[in-house]
Amino acid sequence: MTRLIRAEALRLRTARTYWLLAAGTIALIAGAVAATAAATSFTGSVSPARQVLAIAGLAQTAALLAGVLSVTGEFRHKTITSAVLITPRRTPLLAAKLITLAASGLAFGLAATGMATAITLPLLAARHLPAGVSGAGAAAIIAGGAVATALAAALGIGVGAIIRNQAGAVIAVLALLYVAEPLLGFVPHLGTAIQQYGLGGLAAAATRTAYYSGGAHLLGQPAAALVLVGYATAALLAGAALLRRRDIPT
Amino acid sequence: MAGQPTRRRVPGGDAEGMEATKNTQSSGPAARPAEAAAGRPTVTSAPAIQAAGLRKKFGHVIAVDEVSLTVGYGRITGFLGPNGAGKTTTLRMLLGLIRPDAGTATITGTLYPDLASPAQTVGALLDAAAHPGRTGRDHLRVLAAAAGIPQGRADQLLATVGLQHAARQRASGYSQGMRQRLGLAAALLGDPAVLVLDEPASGLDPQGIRWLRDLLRSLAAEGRAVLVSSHILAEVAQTADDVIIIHRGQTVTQAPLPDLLATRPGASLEDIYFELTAIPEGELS
Repeated sequence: MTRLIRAEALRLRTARTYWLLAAGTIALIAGAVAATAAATSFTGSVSPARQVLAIAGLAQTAALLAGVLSVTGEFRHKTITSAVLITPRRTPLLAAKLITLAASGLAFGLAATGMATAITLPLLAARHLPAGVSGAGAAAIIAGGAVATALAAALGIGVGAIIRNQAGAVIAVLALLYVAEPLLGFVPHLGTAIQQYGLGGLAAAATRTAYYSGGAHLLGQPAAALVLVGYATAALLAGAALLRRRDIPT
Repeated sequence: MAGQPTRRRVPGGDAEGMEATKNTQSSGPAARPAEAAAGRPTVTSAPAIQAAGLRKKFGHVIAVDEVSLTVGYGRITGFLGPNGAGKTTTLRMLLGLIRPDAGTATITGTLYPDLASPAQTVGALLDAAAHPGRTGRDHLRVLAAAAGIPQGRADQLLATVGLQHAARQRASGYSQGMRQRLGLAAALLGDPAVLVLDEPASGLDPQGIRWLRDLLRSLAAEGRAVLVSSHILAEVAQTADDVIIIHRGQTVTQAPLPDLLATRPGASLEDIYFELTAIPEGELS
């Protein structure tokens, strides 16, 4: 297993895709957080800092995509053949990806949320705006960001193992996050459940930031993290079962 | 079945660093420790590759109907058949990538997924695929890491296959021939005693084809089993010791090449091939 993790880490390090994705995400978060903290007039009941730091949730989207790409890329570029030839037991192969990507996601989420917090708090202070979070509150946001990003990467791996077609998997994930959930969030009755148990609402709750204006119907931080663990586990178990069962196509 | 003992080395193989990773597969009483100690591959008493009654359907299409074959050590076995005959599906069933509907395939007497160290037992060239964003060297290093093979082996093999000048170039810039060479390097990573190569000559220039022929011969002379599918009959006639022909998912012949040629005095391998893979009149679509 150590070898497989070493191989996955090398695989991750030597492909530009992940570096570009990480750098692009960090740049976007930094720019958007700085602009929002410097220029927005904050309204509503949610604290300004929590509103700004919701932007760092982009790290979870990036990690979800990285997880999807790490599995579907193997099928797209047919490298799955050599990977499975070296490791015919396919579950350990997926487990090595999970451990590597989740660890990277944890570090990336910590860096992205930490950086966003380090930009937000001084800018709000400079404008003499109350941040509305304590030191412990900020720590909970950063820790939540790290955990949620790791879980997003894990979920992405499960989704990638289920939907092996790269374009299909990426579109499915983005459509769920940015089309289905926001739209369904407006449907009466169903909307509340979507806000609580949809990925956007769970990520906001797990990072203790605002996602929906008002931020009313979110779960508590530990509960949200646990539901995300449940989603990731379900996707990974289904993905592993399919990976074991399906033929490796030419 | 095994070839005459020679002391020729595998090109680029058998560095000191490989001692830890080679010869790890089944070395029961039937193995040949004396030769293994001399830097030769470990050869099992069971056939290198054996398949019996393989069958596979994709939807309503029967890709492989009844394929049985045996591949011995120290020989090059040419695997022939028209497009769609089931060659690639058969090779992928041998290697545990495709699950057969019926029949079994073993490598060194073991089902592929049960091999203790697959990369050190079998080397395969199937898709000649690499991630386009990764360099050839990194591609091999990733595979070596997964197989527990020292990283230095990657550079050594890049030299063996003549890719040292392109080692740090991204695979997206590789020609088809370079991808084949990289795939061959990947197949040789674990210094395996069994090689399965699906059309390794495709995309190679005449120099490349000659180089490949010499490489395969020296690998077989080392005592390794080499199963190679090909459409280039003239090349197979020059290189192969044994020939397997499949047609419409069934093995139609398996024999040492001289024996096959002796069945039809004066006929070439090509003549015999066309006779065995002819489609009966009235079935032409």
